[in-house]
Amino acid sequence: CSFPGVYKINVQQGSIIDHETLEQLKPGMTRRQVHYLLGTPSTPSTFDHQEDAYVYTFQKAGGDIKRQIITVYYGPDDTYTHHASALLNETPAY
Amino acid sequence: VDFTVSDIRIEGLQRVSAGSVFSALPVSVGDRVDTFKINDAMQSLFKTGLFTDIEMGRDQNVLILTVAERPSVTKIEIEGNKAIETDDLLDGLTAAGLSEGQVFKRLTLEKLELEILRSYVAQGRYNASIEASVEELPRNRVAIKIDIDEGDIASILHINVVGNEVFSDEELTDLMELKTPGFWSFIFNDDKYAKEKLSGDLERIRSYYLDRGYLKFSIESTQVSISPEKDAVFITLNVKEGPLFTVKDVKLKGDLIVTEEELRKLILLQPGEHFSRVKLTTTSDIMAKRLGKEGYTFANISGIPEAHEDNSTTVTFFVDPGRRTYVRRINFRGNVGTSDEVLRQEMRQMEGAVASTDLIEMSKSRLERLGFFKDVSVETPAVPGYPDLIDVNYTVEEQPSGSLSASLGYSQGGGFIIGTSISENNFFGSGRRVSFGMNFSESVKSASFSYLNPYFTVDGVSRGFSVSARQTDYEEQDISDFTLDTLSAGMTFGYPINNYSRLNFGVSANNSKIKIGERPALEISNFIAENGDDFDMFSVSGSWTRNTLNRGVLPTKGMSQSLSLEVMLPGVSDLEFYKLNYRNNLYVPIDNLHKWALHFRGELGYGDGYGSTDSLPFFEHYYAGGFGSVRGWESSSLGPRSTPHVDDVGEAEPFGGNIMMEGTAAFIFPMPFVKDQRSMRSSLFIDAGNVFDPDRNYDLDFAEIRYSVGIGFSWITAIGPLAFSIAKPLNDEDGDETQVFQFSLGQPL
Amino acid sequence: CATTEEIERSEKEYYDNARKALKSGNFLEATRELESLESRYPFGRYAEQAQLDLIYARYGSLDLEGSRAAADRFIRLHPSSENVDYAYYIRGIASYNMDIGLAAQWFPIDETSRDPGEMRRAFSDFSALLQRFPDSEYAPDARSRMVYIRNRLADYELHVTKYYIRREAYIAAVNRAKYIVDHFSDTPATEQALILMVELYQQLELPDKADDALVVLAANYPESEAFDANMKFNSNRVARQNRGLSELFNFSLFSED
Repeated sequence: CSFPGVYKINVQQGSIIDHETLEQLKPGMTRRQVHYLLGTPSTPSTFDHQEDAYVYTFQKAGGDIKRQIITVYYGPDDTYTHHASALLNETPAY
Repeated sequence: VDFTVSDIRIEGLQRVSAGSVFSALPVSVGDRVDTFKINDAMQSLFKTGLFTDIEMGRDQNVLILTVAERPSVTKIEIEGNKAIETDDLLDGLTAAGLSEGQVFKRLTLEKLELEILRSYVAQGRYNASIEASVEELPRNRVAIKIDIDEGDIASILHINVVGNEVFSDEELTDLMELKTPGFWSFIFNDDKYAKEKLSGDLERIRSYYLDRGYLKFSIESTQVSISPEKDAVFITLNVKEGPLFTVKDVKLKGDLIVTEEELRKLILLQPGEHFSRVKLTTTSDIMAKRLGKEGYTFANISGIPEAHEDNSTTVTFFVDPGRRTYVRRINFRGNVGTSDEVLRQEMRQMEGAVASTDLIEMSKSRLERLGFFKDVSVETPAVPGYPDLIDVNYTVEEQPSGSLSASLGYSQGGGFIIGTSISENNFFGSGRRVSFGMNFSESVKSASFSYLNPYFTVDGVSRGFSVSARQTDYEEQDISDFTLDTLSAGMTFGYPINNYSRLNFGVSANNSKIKIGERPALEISNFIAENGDDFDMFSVSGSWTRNTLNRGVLPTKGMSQSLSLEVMLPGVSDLEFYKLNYRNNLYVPIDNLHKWALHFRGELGYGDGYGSTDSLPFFEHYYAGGFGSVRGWESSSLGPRSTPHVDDVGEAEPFGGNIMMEGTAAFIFPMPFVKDQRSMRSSLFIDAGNVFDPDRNYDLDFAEIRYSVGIGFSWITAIGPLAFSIAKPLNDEDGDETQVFQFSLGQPL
Repeated sequence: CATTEEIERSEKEYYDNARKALKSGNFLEATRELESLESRYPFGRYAEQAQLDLIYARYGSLDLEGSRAAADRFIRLHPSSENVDYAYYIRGIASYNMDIGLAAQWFPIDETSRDPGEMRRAFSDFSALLQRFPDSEYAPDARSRMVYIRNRLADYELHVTKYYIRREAYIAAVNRAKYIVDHFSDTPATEQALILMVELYQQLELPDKADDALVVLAANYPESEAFDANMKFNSNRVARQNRGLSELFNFSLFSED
């Protein structure tokens, strides 16, 4: 094997959300119900009535950071309308 | 009686302030008062408990209260108590409202006698007796004297187990902490009855059965009968064993999160085996830990054995992962002197990341491994209002992390050390390791400065520099007759190659000059004749270290190893040689509180010349003997001797060698009578070791290894580690310079 | 030696001795006298004043723990005394100084990156004083110490934010910076926190949140150094550092923080 280099730990950040969970989102859900299903947003917004951002990042051994962002949009009455997401094929926890 | 109160007068007050009486009195000036109101007032005054007697009088419209205050307690004396500390008794008294300065109530005293008696009975002292006497003192005060005759603890005359066929009485009573009087009872007094011990024993017996397949085992009843003289106790246990159960099938139910195949690999209970509760609970713990890695810190796994008629059982593990949890904030408490980054850079668990029980636990042991904290504890409270968030709170207790051997230090090797050396592993709490030393002792004059930043990059790449000037007079250390001046400057760097091991490298330039005395040993003058006495050398060193110790200072578990090689660069160095060292320290805890442990230490050293230098230069020789090496012998006194100068009448001096072997086996035990042991250590040890020099035909010969046995003690004080030992050499030969008592102050352990 | 029964002195004698000792600054003597007066005459005429003096006597003899306990007791026993604001104040001062490290007083080490320890309790003690006695003579000093504590807590958060940037854990970093803006917006650390938030949200590719933070920054700190001449945001504090071994040969002295 090659001469051992500097050991760098993996750094995981943010919410792990997969396709099945996202499928359960239904329009009309209140923000609280969305937070119960998807968990607390990893980057909470400072102002309410904003969309929720569920960011997930994973850096393997100090390398480049893979990122997955799910944005959940709410209507004027603060109920779920739709979401936009580009899911990674795997979201490991460590 | 019916009038309006124009004024109120109180008589008989001694210690109670008028204010407190008025505030307790429902009547005030200007009220209309009748017999009913007067009685009501009397009642409320009595309720204050301050007075033994109250009389209401009347002088026209002035209400006159004559009170007799309850005496207040000025002194409480307790005698005859050994089993329960006086302070604990006094606390009990204060809790019951009876302490110095308080009001004395006879009722509370009687209640208290009962209270003390009950706590003695709980300790198995059935024939204890309490006698309280009250002594009147002038000015309405009393002194209380409590005489206690503790009697002795009822000792267990006989333990009888009924209904056991599979395991003999003897097998079961051996499990128990309570014993019938035996040879060692006078020390451990394990034959003394105590209720808590009995319940502990019952639990041990139950687990013994359940862990061996007796699913239906139950303890029907226990009788504890006391002899008439109340000094002996008979214990009878009735048990019902039930059949032996074998495991028919193991099922997994619930949301497994990871693949069933992976979880099945963790199951310790296999079909066909006997049922075992300990395997069941351990399996649940391992599975919970596995789910913990995925962020399910609140996972709950319960194994339920279902008994069938044919004495077989199906075990079903119900997996309830709960919610995947994330860490919101990691907080540190107690690092008043150490900066936050020094702790946070040891963290393997990140904020805003999935909470992993493994990483949280690993981070805790990394903090302990720093050696800056006497104690590290962690808790993971849920964040209110956010079911999927937890905080991780580490609480640390700082301890001196360096040694400040100022003004006076003493090591038997160097005699009295005058001067100051500050080496601080946590330089002003910055985590940088800085040591600055100026030492003057009879044998060593040195000034040195070294700096190491263990986290030069965030991953733990370390970088350090050191410069030092040192003059060692070996004659003073009664080794051979020469002095050695060395100047050196170097740079080191290192990096982790996994969670526990590191690679370190170093380059240094150094100059050594030898000044010989009038009568140097033969070997020295030959060496100088051959190689001269002034050498410039450029060295490259590399080492591999691996550390899994559970604490940086005074560890009790884990191992630390280091394998290092230092080579003088050929061509540019006046002398060409290399030195190879291996060191290993292994700690094995015995009890789960780590009070008792075993410690094994091994050290090997080998050096040799190469190229133009045929052997390891004598001033680079290894030495053995003394504190931190082979105790019981004087420092550096073991191994080959030099041939004395022709007209030197004294005997040959130690000369060291190019091969060194040393080892220690120690039994660590808790110091008796000392409560806070976290910064001290006492141990019985066996030291062994010697140095050899085949070139001068002191060949490596195990028979020459010297052994000693002794007792050692070390203590982390504010000015640095203090350690001393008393050692008895076992196979010293004539000419060996032995030394029973040895100590050192301010030398890092 | 014969142990004579301690001569029973009158309440007034204890009290006068204590006052004399206090005036001459012999705090240990004063503490002893006051404590024996307490146990002999718990309800006497001088009890209240003695308990008040005990707070100062213990503080004087550097027994901060004892002084705080005496203050707690005084507040409990004499809530309506006109000196109770003094008790609140000293309770805060005792907590404030309890964890000042020895080294911190003489050497220039950055206190703000260490656990403030008992200062947190000092903060709540002082705010209790300000709530009850806004115009007590001790209010101004209490207020200024509260400001210092808040600034120190905010700086602590900033240290942690910078560590997580170095660690390249950007969600941890942005939430810590946001914590400053949410809880310590009245402290000087807020400007830096906002600048870092803008950069971190950009790094996380959350443009809307980055703009929100930018708006708040521009509104509150128009002259912040993160803006160039024509108010364009350019700050590069979140750049990834070189973590390779080559970094070892970077000898610029100020490469670290």
